[in-house]
Amino acid sequence: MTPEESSETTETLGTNLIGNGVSRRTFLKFCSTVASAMALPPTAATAMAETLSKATRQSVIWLSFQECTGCTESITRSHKPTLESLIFDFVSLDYHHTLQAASGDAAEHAREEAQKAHKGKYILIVDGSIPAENNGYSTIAGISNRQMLEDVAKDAMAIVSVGTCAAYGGLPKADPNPTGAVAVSDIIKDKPIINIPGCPPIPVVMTGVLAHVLTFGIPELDKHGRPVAFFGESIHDRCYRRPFYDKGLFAKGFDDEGARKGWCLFEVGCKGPTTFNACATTKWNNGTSFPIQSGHGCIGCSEPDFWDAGSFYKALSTGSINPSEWATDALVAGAAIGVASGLLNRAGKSKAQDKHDPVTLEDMGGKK
Amino acid sequence: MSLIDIPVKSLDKPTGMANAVMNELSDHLSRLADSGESHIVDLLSLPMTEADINELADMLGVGEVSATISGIGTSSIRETAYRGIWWVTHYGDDEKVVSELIEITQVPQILITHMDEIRHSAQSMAAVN
Repeated sequence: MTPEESSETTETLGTNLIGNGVSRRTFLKFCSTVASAMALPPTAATAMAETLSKATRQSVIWLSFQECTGCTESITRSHKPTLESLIFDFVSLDYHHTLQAASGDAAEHAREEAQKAHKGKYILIVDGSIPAENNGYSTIAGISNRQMLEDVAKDAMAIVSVGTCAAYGGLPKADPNPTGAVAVSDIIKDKPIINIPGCPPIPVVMTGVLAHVLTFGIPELDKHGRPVAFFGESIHDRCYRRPFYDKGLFAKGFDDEGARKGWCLFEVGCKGPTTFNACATTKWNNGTSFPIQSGHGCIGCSEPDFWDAGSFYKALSTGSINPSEWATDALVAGAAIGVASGLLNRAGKSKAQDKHDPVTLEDMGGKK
Repeated sequence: MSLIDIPVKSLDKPTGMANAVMNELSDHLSRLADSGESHIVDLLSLPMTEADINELADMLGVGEVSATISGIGTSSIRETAYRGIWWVTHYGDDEKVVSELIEITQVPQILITHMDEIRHSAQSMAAVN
């Protein structure tokens, strides 16, 4: 296909870039950065740039259920042109409550048209949890979340659950879970699902995964369905304050000498050791900072059931678990190995899961 | 108080990583000489401190070629004192380093103008003339 033919028929990302005044060199540079962030070999950047530049507009349908819109806010907070906005601007976002111009029937019609026109080829992105107990708790155009999810998932190529709510149930699922909130993967069992948790997720994680899907297909996932490239390491293992943890230098409060000297925040509740995300390396707001760097411990927002995993301000070693079960001074003093903390946290989380009884209509005083 | 003021002593001495990287680069350069096969090393993916990266830069020295790309953020490409070993630094538009690569090659990929862009400018030029 000659360049003249290709520009007449379908627009590719390559021609789109030229049209927007973004040079191939700049695009190659961004692909290098994404490849590096995803721990791909640096030579993958060239393949990524070549493949992506030939990509035609990918149809994306974004369904929003029981969510706070934070995930959308995160991905659109890109003030400077970066690969994130390039990729996001290039996909054909055929349905998105916040970003689409149409509303009402026109919006639903656009969604149905996209489903038909790109059957088997569109990417379904979901944010927000689904109320599985009572379909009436959350509806769009009179259609329950569950029904819409099942309908749209049927002909999707792949599903991306963005944010901890879609990935694991998130805030709505927290004790006492009044709506019976569940994750996308609890309902859809027959499609590849990529979980990108975080409350919200880091923007470049979102677009890095999209870029990977468009170039190489679905990335390698861990046992929670998260891309290993971004969620393979704990915050603790990449935290710049780790030398203080290793030396046993901790802040005991938020304004003491340790806090002012930037010491480890383990004792004021940091969940870094049991949290897997890219915050310590990729950081937030275009690499500006992340919670620990700003003086607040990690709250573990990319982990399942983090809302019920104990206080944000109590150390992992003391949380909601009986300390005498883990009677080691070493743990409290912070000379602990990460594994011990990890075991602790998993015990805490299974206890949290046991308390999740979805509320029934009868519980609320209604009649069955 | 800025990050620099926090006295984390572990980061300001070289750890010996630079020597390890030099070994690897030597292998790649020999392979390039024998078979023409290029390679790229991503410095930011390695556990290198700032001191290590500076030590590596000293070891590699500076060659006769330097180029700057001014796109969205600049990129600086310099050949080191070892011909065939290039140091490529990519900056974001906020002047922060986003990528630090060592390319073992005849010329880094990013310097070569892509044929798609040449076709596009050929059309533009023909249209005007």
